[in-house]
Amino acid sequence: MVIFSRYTWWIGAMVGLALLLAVFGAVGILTPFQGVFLRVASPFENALSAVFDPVASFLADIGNVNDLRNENARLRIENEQLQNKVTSLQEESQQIAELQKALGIQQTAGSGKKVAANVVAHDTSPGVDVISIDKGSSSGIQAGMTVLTSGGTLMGTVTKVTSANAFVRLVTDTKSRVNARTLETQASGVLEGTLTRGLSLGLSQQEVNVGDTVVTSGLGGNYPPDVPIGKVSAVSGTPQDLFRTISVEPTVRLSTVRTVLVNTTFVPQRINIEGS
Amino acid sequence: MTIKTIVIVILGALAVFAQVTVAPRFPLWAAVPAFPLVFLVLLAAFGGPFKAMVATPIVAIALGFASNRAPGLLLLAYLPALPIGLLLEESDIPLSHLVRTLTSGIATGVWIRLLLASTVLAQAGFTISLFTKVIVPGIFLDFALLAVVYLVLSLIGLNGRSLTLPRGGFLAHE
Repeated sequence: MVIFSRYTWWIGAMVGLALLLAVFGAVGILTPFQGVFLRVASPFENALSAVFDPVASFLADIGNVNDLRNENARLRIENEQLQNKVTSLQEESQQIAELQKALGIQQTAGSGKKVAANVVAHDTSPGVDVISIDKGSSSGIQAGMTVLTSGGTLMGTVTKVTSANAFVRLVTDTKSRVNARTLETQASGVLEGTLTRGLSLGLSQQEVNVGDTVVTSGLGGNYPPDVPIGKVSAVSGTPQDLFRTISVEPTVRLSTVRTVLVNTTFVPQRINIEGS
Repeated sequence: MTIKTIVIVILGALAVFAQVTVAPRFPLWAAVPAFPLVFLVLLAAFGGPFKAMVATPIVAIALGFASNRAPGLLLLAYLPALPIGLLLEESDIPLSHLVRTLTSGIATGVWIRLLLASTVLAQAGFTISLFTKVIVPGIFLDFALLAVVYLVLSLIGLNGRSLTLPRGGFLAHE
């Protein structure tokens, strides 16, 4: 039997090592070693990604040829509509800028300095959705900063930083909580990651419809307001239901994003509720 | 350091890096291939238990650093692969080397996904999707990967080895 064999000492030693690693991890002894490891590993991880990205894309596309064709047709129409919308928004934006200048209002939140970084690794254990990027504290990145796709969609938050790397918890991670609202109906709630790396909008009591655009609300101060996240893909129940399920589909497939932008200007607000 | 050891180190490093770069690109529902598991199980099956005993903590720590997961937790996750294999070998059930390898790999794969999922169940809630979208697809992925790589290793002439530790001290493994 295993328990009486010479495996016993090994199992005991490994359990002991696991406990030791847990203690070392808790007090931060492992962080410098992790920094060195990530610095050495990054080029290899980048090379592996570069080799397998085209293969993965090709395989994914083969299975979705019809879907891609339909999506292409839909996007062409959407593109035309958006082009027209951009033209009118540019005019409005110019007017707003002039009015802000006249009234002395400074722009905040979504604007600001952003640092571009490459995704070097992606942990997709059950319920976990964490990426690591090739920029760290030496590039001005701090824990808590928000991370966006190159198109401006919210990806997540920086959770840990070494000198040359940073880990980002994606919004689809089960530990992620984002205060969000819908643009169309102003329904607000808390956006959470699900076990299957989806998104669900909880605690929302207002009317929500499929297709509504979900953006950050800015409540709580952890994220800047009005950063796009995705669209409502399914709604079950009515606003009167205590546990209504609202599924949200991210605007971009987060697992395929290779370049991200870290908003280094936005610093999360820690609101003192006591007011002291 | 022999050529064989260098090859094992390279394959181990590849398994860890592939887990955080290649695996997320090939998901089956919410499950992804477990390359370090495949590496450790096949290392034990073809390289003998001693090499797997040394490689298990190194792989767990490396994967913990690469993915920012607790290395201790990952070590506990990968720990059962060898004992399960030995239990099957010492049992009275007549199983071939291939079946024992696949069974220990798949059982450890289920244990890994359950253990890692248990750390987030407080946030995510225990849902049926854990089984339908993580555990069951994970079993299929582990089976497919182990079977294919086992076949390739057999075709290149490697022979399956016993998981029983040879007597004669630490140097008796060779």
